[in-house]
Amino acid sequence: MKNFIKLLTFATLMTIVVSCRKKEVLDVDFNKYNLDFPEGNSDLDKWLNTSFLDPYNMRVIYKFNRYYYGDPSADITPPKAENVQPMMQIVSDGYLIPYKKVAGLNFVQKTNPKEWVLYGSNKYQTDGSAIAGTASGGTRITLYGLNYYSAAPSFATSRLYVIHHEFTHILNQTVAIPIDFEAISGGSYKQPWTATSAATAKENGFLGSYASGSPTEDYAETTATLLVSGQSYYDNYANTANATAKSRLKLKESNVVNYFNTAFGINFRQLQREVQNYIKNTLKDPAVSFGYWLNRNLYKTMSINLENDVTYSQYGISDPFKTAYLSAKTNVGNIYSNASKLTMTSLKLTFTSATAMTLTVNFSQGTTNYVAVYNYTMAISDATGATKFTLVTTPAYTGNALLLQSAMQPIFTYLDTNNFTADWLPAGYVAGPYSNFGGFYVTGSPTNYFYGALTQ
Amino acid sequence: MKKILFLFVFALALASCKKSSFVSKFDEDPDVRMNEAIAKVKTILSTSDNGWVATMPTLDGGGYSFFMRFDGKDSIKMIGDLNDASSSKVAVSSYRIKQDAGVDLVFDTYNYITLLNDPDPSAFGGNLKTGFKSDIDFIYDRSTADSIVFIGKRYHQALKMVKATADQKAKYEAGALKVAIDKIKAYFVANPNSYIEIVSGGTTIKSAVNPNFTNNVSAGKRLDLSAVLADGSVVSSSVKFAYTLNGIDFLNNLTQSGIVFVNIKWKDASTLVVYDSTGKEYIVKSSPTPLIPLFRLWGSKYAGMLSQYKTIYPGTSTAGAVILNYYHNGLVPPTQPYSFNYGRINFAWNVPNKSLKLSGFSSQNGGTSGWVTDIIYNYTVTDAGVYKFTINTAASGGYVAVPLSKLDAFLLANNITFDYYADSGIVYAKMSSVQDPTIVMTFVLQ
Repeated sequence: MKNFIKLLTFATLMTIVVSCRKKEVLDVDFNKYNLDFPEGNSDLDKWLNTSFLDPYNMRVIYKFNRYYYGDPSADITPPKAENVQPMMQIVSDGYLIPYKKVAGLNFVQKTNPKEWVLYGSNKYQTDGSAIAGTASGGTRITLYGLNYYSAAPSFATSRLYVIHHEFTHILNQTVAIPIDFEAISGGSYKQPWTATSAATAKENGFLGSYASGSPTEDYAETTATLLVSGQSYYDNYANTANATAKSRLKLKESNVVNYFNTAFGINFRQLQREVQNYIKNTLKDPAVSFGYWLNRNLYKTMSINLENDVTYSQYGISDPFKTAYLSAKTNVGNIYSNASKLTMTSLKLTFTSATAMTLTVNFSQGTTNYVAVYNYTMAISDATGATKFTLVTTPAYTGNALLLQSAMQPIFTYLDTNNFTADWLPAGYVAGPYSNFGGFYVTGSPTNYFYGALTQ
Repeated sequence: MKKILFLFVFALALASCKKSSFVSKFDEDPDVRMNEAIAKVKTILSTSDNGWVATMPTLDGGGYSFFMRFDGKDSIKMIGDLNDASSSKVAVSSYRIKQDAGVDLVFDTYNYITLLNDPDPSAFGGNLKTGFKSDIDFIYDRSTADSIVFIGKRYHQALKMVKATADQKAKYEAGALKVAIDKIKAYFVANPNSYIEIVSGGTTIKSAVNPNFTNNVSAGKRLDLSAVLADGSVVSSSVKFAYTLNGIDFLNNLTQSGIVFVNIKWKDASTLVVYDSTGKEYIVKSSPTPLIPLFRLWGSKYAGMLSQYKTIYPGTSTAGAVILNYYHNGLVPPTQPYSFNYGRINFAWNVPNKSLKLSGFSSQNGGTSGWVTDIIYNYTVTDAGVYKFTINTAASGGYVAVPLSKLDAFLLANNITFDYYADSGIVYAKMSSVQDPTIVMTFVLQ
């Protein structure tokens, strides 16, 4: 009986438990529930779809949605619609296409953040400072300040800097920063970064106060500066810092180059060249051009040795210059004969200032080396790189300069009669920083050019 | 005991078997109802063929009006009374209507209404970070046959829209709003002392109508009515306004002497009329001089007065000029030992403490930097505005106590009155001696 009562009690309790389960389906279709479809069918929307969504699965959100912006301390505005396409063209040409060319479509599809949110005004922080862009969770990049769009290169480069900076963070989240990077700066990272002056940051081998805050920001700043500000800017910054700082900056540079190669198989120098070509050729920012930095006397010499520098056999040299060079070489060889025969070995252009250049002809007699030096005036336009060399013929030449004067006439004529444009040549060089070589092409005839290895 | 327990368990079992079905409080599921609500707002907005005339106050700034046409998909054409460009040129942007905590109207790309929301002061003069505290997304509140009202999502200001007529649409799109704004602005420039007469308690008071047509966040796009009552006290009430094609609309109640004023309209080509909520007219009249005595505005509308370097303003008497020039010409030896090439005199009122600060500034670099000598006075003032100054703190700081000394002596020796002095459209402050009416000095009002 007791067992029966126990069984009955158990059965009753089970009935209670089961009968308490009440199930009623409320048939709400949540696909229909949230009806926010900001994408329209305008020409802009179509362009965004075909340019970004289709190839990269990248959504561009430019229509205001409060839920993408949660900062209560400051308001924000949507962008002016007419600025969206120019902004995204910059994103495409200065960031996506260079990566696609160098790292491949697959890499871009895999790593590129999937949501790009655009705003018209800046994002203001509590202290009143403004932010131009942020990256979050490896999935979203937010760009602010589209209403300040201008065709001036500075707008595009400032945004590209932010994009490349933020994208470096995303890469670093995929493959961690090499552990030896942090050690380069010898423990001098300090927060808040705002407490470190730009001068102190530079003394410690940082690209600015912001980079001095943490290794991750330092890494992103190094990458963005090399890609967007350019190698010349980077070198000039390092050259004007103290010796320790310079060595740190150069170590950081090679760390980044190796990281891109080993972690992602990306030739960083090729990527740098692609981004710089866009900034130089399309945005026409003079601040990244060879002429601009010649005018600031960053580059001191250019060496030309057509026969012994493999660069020329790999990347070629224009026929008009080659003809002038070889004619001069033949002429020099004809000055004396037999045992006294002279051999022109190379040329060197020394940029002694922004307005003066000396042409040094290196030649030999047997095992003895000699030089003949000729002075030129030089005028370079910052804006276009237009360059004019003028041979200085007074006082009259003496010594070796007099001896080679007639023989060198083909080179004098080439340099004197042509109007040149300074540029990073050869265009295809990606074995090192594009600034390893520089040169000049005849304005209007880009196939008529010469170039040489640069030193600073 | 066991029986009771069993009984209880069985009762529980029976009760638990009772199931009541879910019965919705609404006819339709939420997705359907939300669809309907969104469709309704979309339809209302896009089926007004002539668009909408909208008004909206901002939380920190004044009021604004817009003309809007929604195309039913995602494009909106807008005119706004913010500036010359916005009131004369239609701008196109996008909008969308979506679900939020209700139906949400979002002006989702930049247009004139966004200027009020812009956190960058260089966009339209709003405050850094918050602009005018004005929204670009609004929750649907209510509608009638010819109107619809939304409430700003963050700052809770009402965006009220009324269907426009074909005539209004044609005018707005032809730039008539700018013409209307220019006209009413010109009226108040030409009639700076405008007022209306209000009958209150058997007496007629003149209430000054002072619109501020600027877009200044703290004072612009507002209008105040100020009157001196029979007992000498000043009453003032202020309202945020927006321009219409025929005047201005007050965006909330403007009440004075128990009367609620609602708008100002042109009655004919040159007559402006203020209307109250009952439709009664109050013709805007013009006084040659300001209605409120200057001395009643010290410390509120005007903080003080200025005598600029070697500038004697119209209305200053010969005797007054002697006192002022003793300062301006005395900034070099022999009046005092130093040579200054710039200086000015400032008066600053401190009404709560009943004191006045007289400051003499002197500079040796044309005014870029310099030194200040201050003298502070206490004062008493009669209802008629006659001031008697006594010394609180004698001249201190700076180097110009001597050049200031004649002005100092004048202030201490005389009973003094202040009044307006108008010349060539500019209103100055006039300071006169009661004892010696030949001593009159005029200053720039600050």
